[in-house]
Amino acid sequence: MTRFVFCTGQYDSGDWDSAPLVPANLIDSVAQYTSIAVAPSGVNVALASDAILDYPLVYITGHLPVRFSAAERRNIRKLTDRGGMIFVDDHNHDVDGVFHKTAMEEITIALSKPVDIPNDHELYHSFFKFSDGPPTTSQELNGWGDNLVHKNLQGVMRDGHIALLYSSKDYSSEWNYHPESKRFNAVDNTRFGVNIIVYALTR
Amino acid sequence: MTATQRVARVQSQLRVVAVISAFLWGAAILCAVLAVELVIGNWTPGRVSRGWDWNIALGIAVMAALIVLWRARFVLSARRVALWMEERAPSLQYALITASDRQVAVDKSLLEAQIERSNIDTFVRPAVLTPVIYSGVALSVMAGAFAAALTLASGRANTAAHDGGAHVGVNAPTANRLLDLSVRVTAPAYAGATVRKINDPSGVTALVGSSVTVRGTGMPDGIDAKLADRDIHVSGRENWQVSFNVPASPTTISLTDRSYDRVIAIIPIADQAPVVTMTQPSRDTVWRHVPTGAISFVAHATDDIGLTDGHLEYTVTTGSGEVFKSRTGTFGVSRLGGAKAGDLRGALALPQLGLAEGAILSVRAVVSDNNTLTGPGNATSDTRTFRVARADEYDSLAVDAAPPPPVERSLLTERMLIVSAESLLKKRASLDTRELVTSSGRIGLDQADLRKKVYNILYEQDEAGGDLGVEGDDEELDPQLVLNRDLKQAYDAMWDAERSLNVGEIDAALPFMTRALHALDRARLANRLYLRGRTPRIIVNVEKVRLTGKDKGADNVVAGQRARADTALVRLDRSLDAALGIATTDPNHFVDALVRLRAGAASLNSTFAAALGDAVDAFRAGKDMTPALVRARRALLGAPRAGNAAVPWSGSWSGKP
Repeated sequence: MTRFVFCTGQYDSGDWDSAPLVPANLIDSVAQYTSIAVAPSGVNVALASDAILDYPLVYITGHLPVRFSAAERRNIRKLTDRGGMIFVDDHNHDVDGVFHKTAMEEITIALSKPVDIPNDHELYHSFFKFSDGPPTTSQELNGWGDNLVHKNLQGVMRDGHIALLYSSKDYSSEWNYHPESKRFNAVDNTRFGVNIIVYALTR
Repeated sequence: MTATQRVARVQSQLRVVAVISAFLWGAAILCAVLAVELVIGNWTPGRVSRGWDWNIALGIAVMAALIVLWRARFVLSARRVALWMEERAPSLQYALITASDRQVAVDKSLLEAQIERSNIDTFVRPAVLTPVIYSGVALSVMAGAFAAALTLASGRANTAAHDGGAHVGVNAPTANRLLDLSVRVTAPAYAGATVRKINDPSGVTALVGSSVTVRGTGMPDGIDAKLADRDIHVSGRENWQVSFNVPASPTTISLTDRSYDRVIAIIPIADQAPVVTMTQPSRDTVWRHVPTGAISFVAHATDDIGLTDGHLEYTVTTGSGEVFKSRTGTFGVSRLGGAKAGDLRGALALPQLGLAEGAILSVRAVVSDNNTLTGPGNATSDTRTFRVARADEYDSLAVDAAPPPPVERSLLTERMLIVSAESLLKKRASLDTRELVTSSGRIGLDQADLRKKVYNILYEQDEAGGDLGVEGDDEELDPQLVLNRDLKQAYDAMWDAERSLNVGEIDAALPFMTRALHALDRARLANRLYLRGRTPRIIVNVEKVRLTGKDKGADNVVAGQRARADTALVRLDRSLDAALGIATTDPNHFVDALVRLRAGAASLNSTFAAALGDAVDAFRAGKDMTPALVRARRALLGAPRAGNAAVPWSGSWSGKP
């Protein structure tokens, strides 16, 4: 049986590794809540490398300007054409920030302009049920970044499915802690990460 | 009546006859040509009536009339008319021509008497009327033939109209009007509005927004046209035509003429976005201190049709941790005036950017093309990133330092080898030859080890010798395979240095070693490396934490299996199978299915779509379409692959071959 391997996409222009603990945390959550066969550690794979096409879900984050190279754009198209999914999270939580502006621009060039995903989308009940749409993050509630609570996630759709999921909610900060620390949380805030992975694997 | 008066009277009669007979012959020929056109237009298989071509018919008729008039040109001369009369009445014995000649000075009374006796009207009058009679008969016959052809054509048209259930007139076509189509493609204005004509195509490939006119023979009544599912107006009088613009996505135009139909694939070509490359500076840079001065930038842009303008764009990002600020600006604006290639140039004065420690300056080039139809295509170059290092960034203990990259390690090792060789060179005078060669050979061995490491880097093999097999010492590097030219130069220089070191020629080896060092340095700088630490590697004990979570999600939320990879190709393959299934039972719809499949596949697999187009063309030309279909199948599934093992011997010859 093939195991799910959590893949972080390395892009050439910015700080792709700004949330290095997120992969381990989500892997831990997938193992805790589901029976999905999962590799014990994630991998970092260059977006410009064809090896990226081996992974069903690619996680991209950062604070700095995102300027994809031609090879990176080409592989983003290929990956989504082949049924893969990309999860992009703005680590700045700032719609006026440089990551959001440049990432949106690059996504629009590579695929198309992301649109709001309705809060009753399959993504929000693919494993755990999130009746109000995407869960809020402490970055939003504490007024960091753009001081907004974003009502929706956005996405580029293909045949009714999410090919690229874009979040301005800064899940990268919310989930960037060692999985051992999860036991101190009253409610596990990585559950939505499980939904994203389950959705990417089963849609 | 004198002889002269007789001749003048006959001359005027002949003139009138010439004109009348010319007219009658012209009319007869006109009827004949129209009858022939009607017959060809309605009775030839595969042809469609195009009505009467009056230009051709009238031209031939006028030619015939002129020929008749030319033959009667003698009526212009009284002397020749007199001769003509003498021919018809030989008993005159040239009395008429002599009497009517004013230059002859003889007594004409005897001649007049002889003419009077000859009673020439008896002979001349029938001769004068003969051309009129002939031409009248010819006109009657030809008019009858024309009327017969018209009557028969009308009968066939009414029968066809009854069969086809369409309301058509007397000139209604009886054949398929969807054959012998001609297509005129006019490119959009921004692309130069060039015109292209294609005869009887199975598909039209054109720039998005191009104007396409499909023309066919015959009147438009009863012809329907649809672009995808949208009806298009069919216009024209004697010949039908439909016009439309090429949409952004592949589609088909379906034409119907009574029981006939035809499908043409419309394959749009999207205007390619421009391509822009930053040529100067050629790589990213880290500044150890806040820089001063200015940097100049050069970018080269190209486009398939034409560029309008471009500029250079910079973003300065400052901050750290979770707080970053950025500002963006433009410079180096250039008007490219529709050229297919051009350069953007600009310079940034660094002090004005307010750079500080930790700041990042990103610069890229942006160009637009002159597509006025679907909006300008924009392109951006790779970004050049300039980072101002923090004074304390290398003192931070928070960074889990990554080992130096392989190229940098090689650089350090080469430098060490040079130092060793230089030390040995200094001690050369105190060593005997054997010791020198032994020590030099030892450095040569290290040099060989380093060369092998560089080889592994060149071919992206692992440190241990590589998954791709261990390199042999005598193996030559294929220059086509070399990805990094600087590393290749270093590798070659190391070879030369190694040879010299092995025989104790340190003087000769050092220049090669130095060359290798410089080449390694260039290779190191050419890499676009982010200077950062390695990400922490956390291994989750999956088995330990498996299903220990307090929350429970849905028991079974999997709505369905994840779509198979390359589902689009699988779908195309199934559609091709379906089309091939009706190849023998319904050839017409088989071709239409292929044309529709071609349109649907154009944006997914252009090779497959092109092969289908060739197959349709081959089918319509009555040729073998198998090779094209094989190409189409292989475009989807790849070439067949032979198995890597032979069938094992079964121990018996009796098995099936």
